[in-house]
Amino acid sequence: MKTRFIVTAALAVFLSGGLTLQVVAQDAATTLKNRQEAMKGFGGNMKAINEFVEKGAGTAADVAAKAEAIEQGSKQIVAWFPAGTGMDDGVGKTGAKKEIWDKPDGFKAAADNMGVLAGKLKEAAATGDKQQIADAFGALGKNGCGGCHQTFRAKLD
Amino acid sequence: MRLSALTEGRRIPVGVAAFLLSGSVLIAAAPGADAQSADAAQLERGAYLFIAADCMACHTDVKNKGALMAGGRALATPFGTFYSPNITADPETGIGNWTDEEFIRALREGVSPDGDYYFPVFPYPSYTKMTDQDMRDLKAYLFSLAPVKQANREHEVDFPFGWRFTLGPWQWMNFTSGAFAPEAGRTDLWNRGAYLVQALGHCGECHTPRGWLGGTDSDYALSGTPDGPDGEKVPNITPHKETGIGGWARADILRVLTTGMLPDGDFVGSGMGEVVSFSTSKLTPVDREAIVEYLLSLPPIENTEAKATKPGSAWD
Repeated sequence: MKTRFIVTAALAVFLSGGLTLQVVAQDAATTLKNRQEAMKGFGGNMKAINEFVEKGAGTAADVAAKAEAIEQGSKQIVAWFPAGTGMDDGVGKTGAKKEIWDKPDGFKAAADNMGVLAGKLKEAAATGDKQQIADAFGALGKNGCGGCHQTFRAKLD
Repeated sequence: MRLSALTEGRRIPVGVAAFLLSGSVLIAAAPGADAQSADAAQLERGAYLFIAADCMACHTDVKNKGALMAGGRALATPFGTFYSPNITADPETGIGNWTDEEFIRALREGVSPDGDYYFPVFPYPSYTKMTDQDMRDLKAYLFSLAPVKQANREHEVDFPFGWRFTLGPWQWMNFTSGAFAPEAGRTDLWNRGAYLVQALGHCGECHTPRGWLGGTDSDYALSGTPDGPDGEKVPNITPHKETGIGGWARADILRVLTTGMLPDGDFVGSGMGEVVSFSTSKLTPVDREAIVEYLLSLPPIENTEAKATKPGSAWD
């Protein structure tokens, strides 16, 4: 009797859990897609700034504008990672590590740090000095993008 | 007789890995037996070797704001979790009592001053290829840093890998000691690159897949593995067109080592992010060129069997 109750209850929990997961999965797919696009946007900006640093393509003003975009985007990063959308949650292909939700303060600090470093690149761009721009760009890439990726993103492919 | 003496001349798989762990490592010759009077030039060389060998990545618990070279960084491996030891010059908890010869033996043979074998999470199978002079310079630099009193943490090694007595036979099967010998008929740049990749940079410790005993598989040298440190995937860095860096421009590879940026604007993370931050970005441009020269000269390996990851981006 008791056993049957437990089995039934367990089954009910299992089924409802499964249904909930399906609904979440649909939302999560959108979340994953959107934030991956956003990350590619950061990457596109960084790549363009690198073209300036390496080959002098574009102007320092372009660099400033892209740094500004990165700075603004950094403020939204935390919101792009709602709970339940990590790589262990079975909601799709993502390298978002559980550390994002285990260490929310650290994750926010990493995003904030990227904003600060992007701000410094903006300032460097305002001076027009190539070396300053190159240094600020290097710091933003290594410590901003890379700094976060070191702890919070896993390589997938 | 030392087991590794028996293995001289065997071919060595490129690497393996391990932290100096110690606790037991601290007997020692009379303090100051070596009476090192490191001159400025030696310290400068040592400082550069320290960067090229990326001691920082394991021996400083950067993420928890640990003291420089005081150890304590956790490294999860398929064999258990290892904690790096203190390699500051503190005589009680660090390596302050070590002589140059003991330091060299640790790197060359993977054996502690009191005769214990190190777990191969300490990359002595790579460091064994360093020259004696480089080892002495590196030690001089380590001893010039602030000594830190911090006891080592015990490793949490899975059964049965924690049995230290098994490490002797392990060495016999997986390791040959000996410094790197420049290859005749190759350029200086290539030989420098080979030394940086094989010895100092210990690239194979992560980029070469390991067998079930934890020895690196030389047939798949540098061709990547899905079972890297901390469970991370590590890409194929041989010049195979589809699964490695064979399709990359030289400038693209150089840029990863210099800034961490991938061709599409993404930035490497995980272990390689640390390697770029602490090590490759601080090398001289010509040393980075040497690394690329050597990597692109390797036989391309298609690593599909090991399900190695490809170099490139992971957008999220």
